[in-house]
Amino acid sequence: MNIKKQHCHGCRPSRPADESQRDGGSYGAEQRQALPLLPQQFPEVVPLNVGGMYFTTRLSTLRRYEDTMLAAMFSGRHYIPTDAEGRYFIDRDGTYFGDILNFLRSGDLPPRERVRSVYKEAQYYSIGPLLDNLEDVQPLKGEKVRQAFLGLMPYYKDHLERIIEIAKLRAMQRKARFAKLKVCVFKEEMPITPYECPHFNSLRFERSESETKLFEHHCEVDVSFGPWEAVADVYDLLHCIVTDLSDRGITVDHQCIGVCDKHLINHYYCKRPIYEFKITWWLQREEEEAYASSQSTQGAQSLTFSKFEEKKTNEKTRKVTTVKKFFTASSRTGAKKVAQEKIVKQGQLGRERNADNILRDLKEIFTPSWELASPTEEIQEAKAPSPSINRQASIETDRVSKEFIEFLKTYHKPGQDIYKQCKLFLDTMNHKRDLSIEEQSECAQDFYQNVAEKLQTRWKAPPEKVEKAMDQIEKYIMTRQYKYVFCPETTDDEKKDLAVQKRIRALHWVTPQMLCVPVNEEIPEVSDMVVKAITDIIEMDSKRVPRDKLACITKCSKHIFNAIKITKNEPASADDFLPTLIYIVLKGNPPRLQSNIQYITRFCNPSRLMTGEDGYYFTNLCCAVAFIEKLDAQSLNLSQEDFDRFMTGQASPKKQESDSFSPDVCLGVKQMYKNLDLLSQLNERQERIVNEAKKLEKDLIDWTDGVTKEVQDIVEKYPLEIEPKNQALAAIDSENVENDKLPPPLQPQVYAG
Amino acid sequence: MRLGMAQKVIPNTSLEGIHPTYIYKVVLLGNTSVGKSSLAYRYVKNDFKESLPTVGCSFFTQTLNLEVATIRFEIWDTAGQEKYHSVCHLYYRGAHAALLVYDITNKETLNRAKLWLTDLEKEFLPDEIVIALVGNKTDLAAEREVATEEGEEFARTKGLLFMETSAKSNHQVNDIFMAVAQELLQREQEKASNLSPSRGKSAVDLGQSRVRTGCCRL
Repeated sequence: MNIKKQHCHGCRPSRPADESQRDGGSYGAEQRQALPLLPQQFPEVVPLNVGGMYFTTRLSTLRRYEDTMLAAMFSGRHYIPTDAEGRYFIDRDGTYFGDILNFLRSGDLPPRERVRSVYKEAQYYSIGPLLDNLEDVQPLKGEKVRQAFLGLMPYYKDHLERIIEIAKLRAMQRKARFAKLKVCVFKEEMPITPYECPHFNSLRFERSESETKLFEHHCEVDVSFGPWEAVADVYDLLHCIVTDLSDRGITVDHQCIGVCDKHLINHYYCKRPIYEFKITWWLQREEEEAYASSQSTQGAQSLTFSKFEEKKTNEKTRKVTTVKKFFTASSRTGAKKVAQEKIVKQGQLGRERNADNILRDLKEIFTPSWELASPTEEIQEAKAPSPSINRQASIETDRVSKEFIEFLKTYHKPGQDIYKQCKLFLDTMNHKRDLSIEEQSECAQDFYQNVAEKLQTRWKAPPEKVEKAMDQIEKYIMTRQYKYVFCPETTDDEKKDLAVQKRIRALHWVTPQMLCVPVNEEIPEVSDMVVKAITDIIEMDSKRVPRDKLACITKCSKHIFNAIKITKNEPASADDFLPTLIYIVLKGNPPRLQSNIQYITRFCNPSRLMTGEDGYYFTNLCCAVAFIEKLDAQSLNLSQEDFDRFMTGQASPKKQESDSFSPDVCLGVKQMYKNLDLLSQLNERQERIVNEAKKLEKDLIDWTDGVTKEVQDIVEKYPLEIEPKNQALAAIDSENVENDKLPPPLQPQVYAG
Repeated sequence: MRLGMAQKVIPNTSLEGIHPTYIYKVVLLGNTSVGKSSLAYRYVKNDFKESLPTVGCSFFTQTLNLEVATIRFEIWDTAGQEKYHSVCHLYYRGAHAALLVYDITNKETLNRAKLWLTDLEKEFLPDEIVIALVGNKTDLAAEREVATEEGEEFARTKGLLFMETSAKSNHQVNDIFMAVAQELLQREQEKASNLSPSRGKSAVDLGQSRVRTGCCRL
């Protein structure tokens, strides 16, 4: 590599200024004469002017390989114009022409950082052998490998275009300097429910068509990459995206902002990671520098080790570890490179900011702390480490700072002191980034203890007030520290996270019965509580302050207690609680579980962790995780063979008979069975009604018959005899003997008058 | 996390130095069916009906206003199933007192209590934690499998507080917690005045609790 480099220095195209005097006169006259000759005759030594840069070489060198453009140009078949000095003129930028010549002369290849550009030139001059050679060295060889990976991504290029297009439109629409996009990058399909397992040797899941439809969704992002089947992981792809974008001169920063919380079914959420890309369209001076330095670090991937050594000594000690890491092969290189870039950016900015800091410190001496604590200063400070810090995070930091200051104002004099102490602590922590995480944790704990003691003894604050102040201090400090101390690269937290996650996924077949969980999810209220508990425990990861994380655990625990209470109709004891919590953790598979536990343990105010309800539930969560890690056949009341078979996915626990459903049976099926039951009951009842109705009908008919018969009987018994009517009337009169004695009836008489 | 950091002393500013408040973490250890939860439930319920936890029955706080100090007990119930034994050590990190509960009608539970004791001995120095052995369910005297003397004898050899209780009939429940509180205070005072190590004092307390046990048996 070094040899090539020297060659390269030797062949640097010389500037016209120094060459014109030497070369100028000698060739001039001769060449002017050669001009009209056709076919053109070339001298043995050919003077060249490539876009204003002068080169001199042998004719044989130019003709070395047939089928190249240069060989064709100087074959004599073509006319080549000459400049005023008689040099043969090629109308092309000559920056990399020297490298081309060097290859033709001796087969030397350009140094790594020039490879890409020389490759373009070689394409122009169509020098096949050089192209072949270049394709076989770094970084082009690596690029080939990279393209092989990117080839797996069907729409990679289109997606890049889309990112740029959206970013452009968004920035223009808002008349903003930058635009943000949400990008989902996920390597593999996750099992949606813990009871799913992928087909052997593939990423696909056994899902029925309806289920697939149900689980299929598009996260609410602008662009989504994945899934892919390769060793390269999410970080690698992210790195590819960032490099390809910055190759096009686009300044891009990205940061994970969480997981997609799209609800799929029951209590299952999508959980794909979402990254925020910030694309800055025009840069401010500071950023321009940072960008330039980041570009140079990208170049640094191709730098020789000696250059790295230079850089290393330039920067502060803590970066040494990162540089070392840079050289160790790891699947995480992508992430580390990004981190590396950031650090270098900071380093470069550091000197710039130093002056600012001194100024500010001076100011601090002369102004009361309150004035300094204005929100604008806070924003500045939040931005300081890297101008491209995630905006959302900085907004939150800003909000927390404001709240903190407001809160401290209620404490008057001690408030100012507390503020100063916190500032001091944050500064110290900034200088202690290269310490191990345990030492940093130690510092934080010392700080908590000191402040609490001071509050109690010096400022005579009552216990409740101390507690409240401590909470606020923790919030303020940890919002700022979070990004540095949560799952830091110096620890194996991330590895542990993945291990736990894998373990929980492998245990997808565990049923509540195996764990003796006293929760009956068939009761709607209970299953509701279970869902809430799972949501709470998953939510923990999204909080930044340890105490907020604890609050999530406590909320989850309360829901669990409710679920047990509804099922058992009595308050739950610890004997019930722990198994249920384990079950919830298994079902929820909360993201970054170990990181969160470690973070809380290291940076939570210890008095909260050791005592109090929050501490109790946190301890239970630790127990649950420890249990899951150690879980074996015995603890599930299974035989070793069964356990092994379930773990390796050779078998899954038999679903129980239909009379007692295991809760993992699809809710729909359960509902269907219930409905069937109901239907058969209804059927029975209907039959009964029909029978009754028939009986009633028969009774009615019987009754009418009976009545008719009775009436007939009576009629027969007492036949109806009808006597003549007149006879009867005469008889009445005849009986009345007194009638004869009555005076004759009055006769009508006519009166005249 | 630093264990020593757990601040149990919050001086009460109004009566500073005279009437301190101590916060003590007490863990309940014992088999599933021995009645750990009931014991704590009974203890807390008797004094403060209104402060009873509504849903959970595994974490309690109880404040005792004593002459010399105010004590706040934080009672941590633990899962007693055997399969969780391996993770139990997480529970008693930073504890100030432990109640080893066994069921007098079940000999096996006493053996388990002994197991826990060895675990505790691994984790703590003798003067770091107050341990009490509690034989529960004296209301089921007819089915007794463990004689009072047996528990008492074991407690004496190991230097533990000892008492037999019944959560059901509220027998000596208050007393055992009070004994623990006294012992803790005693140790606190010893620490303050830097007197001789607490072993001797512990024996005194042991004597007291034995006397009380004796009374109740009569």
